[in-house]
Amino acid sequence: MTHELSRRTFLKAGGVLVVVAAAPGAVIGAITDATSAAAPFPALDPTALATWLTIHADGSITARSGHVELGHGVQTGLAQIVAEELDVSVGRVTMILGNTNETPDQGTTAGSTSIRVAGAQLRQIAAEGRAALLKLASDQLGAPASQLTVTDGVVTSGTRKVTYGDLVKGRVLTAVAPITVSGYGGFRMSVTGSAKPKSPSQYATVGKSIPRVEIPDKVTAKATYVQDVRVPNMLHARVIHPKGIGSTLVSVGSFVPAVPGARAVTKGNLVAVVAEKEWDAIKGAQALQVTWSDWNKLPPSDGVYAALRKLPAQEKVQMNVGDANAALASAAQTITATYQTPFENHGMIGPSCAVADVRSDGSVTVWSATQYPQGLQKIVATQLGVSPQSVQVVRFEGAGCYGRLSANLDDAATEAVVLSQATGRPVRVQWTRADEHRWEPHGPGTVHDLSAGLAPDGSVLAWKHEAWMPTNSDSTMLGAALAGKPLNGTGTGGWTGPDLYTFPNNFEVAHGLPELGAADSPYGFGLRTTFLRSPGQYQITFAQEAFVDEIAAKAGQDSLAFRLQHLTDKRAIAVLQAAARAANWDSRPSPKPGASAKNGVVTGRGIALVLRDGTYAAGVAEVSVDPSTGKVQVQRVTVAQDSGLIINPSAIEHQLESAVIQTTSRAMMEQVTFDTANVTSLDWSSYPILTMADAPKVQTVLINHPEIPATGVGEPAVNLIAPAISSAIFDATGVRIRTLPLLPAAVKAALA
Amino acid sequence: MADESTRPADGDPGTPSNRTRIAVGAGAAVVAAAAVAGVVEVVRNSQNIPAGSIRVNGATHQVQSAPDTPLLYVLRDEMGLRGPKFGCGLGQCGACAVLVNGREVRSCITAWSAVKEDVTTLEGLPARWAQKKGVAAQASPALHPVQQAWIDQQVPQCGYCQSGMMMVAVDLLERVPNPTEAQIRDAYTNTPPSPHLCRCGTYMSIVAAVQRAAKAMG
Repeated sequence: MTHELSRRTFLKAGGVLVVVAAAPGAVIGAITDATSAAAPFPALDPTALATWLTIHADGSITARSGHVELGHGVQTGLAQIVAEELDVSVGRVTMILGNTNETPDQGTTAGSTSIRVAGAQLRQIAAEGRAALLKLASDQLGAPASQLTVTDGVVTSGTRKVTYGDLVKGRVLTAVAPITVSGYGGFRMSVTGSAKPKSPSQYATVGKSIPRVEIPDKVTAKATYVQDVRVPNMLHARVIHPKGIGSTLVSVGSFVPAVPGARAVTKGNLVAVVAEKEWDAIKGAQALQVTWSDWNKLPPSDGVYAALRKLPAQEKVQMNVGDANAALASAAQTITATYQTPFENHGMIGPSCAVADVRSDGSVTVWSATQYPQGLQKIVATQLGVSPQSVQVVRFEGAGCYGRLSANLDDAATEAVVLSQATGRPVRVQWTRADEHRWEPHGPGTVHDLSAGLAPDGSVLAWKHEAWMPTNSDSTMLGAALAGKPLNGTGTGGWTGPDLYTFPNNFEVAHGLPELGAADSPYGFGLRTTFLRSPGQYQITFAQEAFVDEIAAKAGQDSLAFRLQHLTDKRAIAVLQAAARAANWDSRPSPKPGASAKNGVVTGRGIALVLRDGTYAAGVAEVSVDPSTGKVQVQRVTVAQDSGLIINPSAIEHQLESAVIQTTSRAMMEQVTFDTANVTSLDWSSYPILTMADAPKVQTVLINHPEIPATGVGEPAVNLIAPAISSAIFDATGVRIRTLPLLPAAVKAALA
Repeated sequence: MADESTRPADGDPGTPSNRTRIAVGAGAAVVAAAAVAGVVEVVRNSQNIPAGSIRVNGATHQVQSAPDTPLLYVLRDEMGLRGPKFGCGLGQCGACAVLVNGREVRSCITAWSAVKEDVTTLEGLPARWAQKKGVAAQASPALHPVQQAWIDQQVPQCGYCQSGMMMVAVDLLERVPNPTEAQIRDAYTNTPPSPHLCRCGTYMSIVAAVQRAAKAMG
């Protein structure tokens, strides 16, 4: 490995390095000084190590990532990875996340990629940084780099020592290292170089439960959420969205009653009220007389599953092995079942909010909680017809969003941009609760037809699964679309998730559907649907894992043993066995002896397995069911997970707790309702979510495989909950319920 | 307006929280008696807070907003406080919760002009704890035990709802020093006007943190 060191001006092209900087803030200063009218915010060079990493004279380290904190702990996990490679304590590392002026584009923070993808890139960057520092130290200490050791930023050769801080003190350096970045900003982006990252056997910081670094600010009101952003001369805005999904503006009248201080702003079909005081904007939005055209092209939520089957579909074959139809025809016995899942909300506890400042000099700053700052930067640039280098996106945390601000980057930001341009002032858009419940791009409802053919011994000869799924990846920007400049599109649904079980004849196909009502909407979108935590796979896994349980019951076999019989993947087998062990799995066929849909409260257990983006998870749900009321209580959920190398056990445990409780809510209670015009579930009483009273106890088992690269932890367990609960209800009652949510009325009706 | 029926109000400024509030000025014995009897007593000013003002975290603030403005917007937009959050404007989620006279109140549906007693937000919890312990303000601890427990249990995910969650914890622990798990679940679920909602799924960590704080405060 060779590193050529030179004293070049910091930030010159081609350099890679490690800085320097006597004064913290010099990096930001350098970039700001370089601004010009033509390109207020110059693009970053991802092949320059200095873009990613700064070594400060006091020994502290700043590392920058385009990924963002969502409350999943990535700020801490990435700091651990950087600290590990640089051989410093984690407290020395500060992560800067999600500011297009400072942080390189590592793609969207979604799909469990923060550790798996962005973390792997930062690991290589930090290893390059360490190599550059060791070269400096080698020169200073007069010993080859291979003979140096580093402990918390102190480089030692025999009795001689020098700190990282001393190595860079008072100097501006660039170290030229052969970093190559391909696919910059994309899902396939890679960062390669000549430094070799540590072996996991040497890890001291990775693998420890380091307390999350952003939590103290969150419990002392020092954290800045996007909702807290206030800029000078800022107007507060409330947007009045269309009546129906495809309604267009007929007229804007006056405020009744009058609201002094509020004024209406209209651009195309984007109608808003702005005011100096937030309360005046709220009252104004309630008082403004707005008339919309009627639009009634949506199939209502009652009967939506039949409507989904009738939409024009794009067929996407996931699996085609053997001849499933022929094997089904010749099977000793066959089972068929239909599973259905409703449209769901992300349900951000704080509705969408963003601030935009479109300035007269052509520069634009957007403050947003988006999951992808560079993506939003490009969209806003397109929306305004300017270059991306005219737009800065400063990202702050918002309320947990679970995919809502990923493909669909931030509707409120695109509205704020329109309103700022129209008013010539910075504008803060805050959606109401009803705005969010109605206009968030939802999780799509789905339908699944499954068939299985069994051999006389109960083993599976044939498996067939057809799924009808609207798009999962709406990326329409509401503000841009309403203002007359639609951006991006809606796409069609597709399959998500690999097969784990080995069946000799297997046919799986997704009927990829457009959005409901989209064909008849002037905006190009219908009932918008986009990524919701483990998108697509949540629905697929519910149908498949519950159906596996049905087959096992039909074959008279224990559900765990039946799965093991059809598995060859050792990691899948191991997580299943670990979950079963921790939950004291009671091996026997379902339903349970004494199961009843009639008499008194009964209990049962169900199990499920998933592989998502490299992570294996298995879960056991234990429930009680009261047939007289239909009330199902999820008592406890046990999850075992193997995500390869574990970075931070505590953070993973909390992610699993989060996945279990949030998804228990989705499975048990949640469904978006809509009529022919628009969504009708507009608040927490018409779209209730799980309360603390009904939260299950959560037990977790983590399986560490340091030799296997780390994979995601926020999504996999999400997939286990609905099938495990539904199978537990079957175990307790002998009745299979195949449509979510598992509300008391539906359960009671099914048991009757 | 054509879509008015499907567009709930952002908040009803005229309706104070339906939480029962009990005057504290007459002393602890009266509070206890009233609580036992279940008396709903209208709050009256016992603190000599000047007209047009509210007292927040021990300081008097001269309000610049119209009387119907919900307390939330005075706290956030006038005073720059970040603890209370806008979640629904309907009293349905608890993100905006603050303490008024020690009891949790939803600031999004409570007009500031209806607030006659001391308000405590997340920012004011350390000083509140100092006062309870009889410690001078300048010797105030950096954190209330509830905040410390939230850190120790690593409760927050996104954290947006957690200010409201900590308000409930303080309200509960000041009245019930050693709550059972059932009492904790009940306090977060069944206390009017609505359950406290967390979307990230931190409920069980909250239960553990409240129990941890109870030990620290005991």
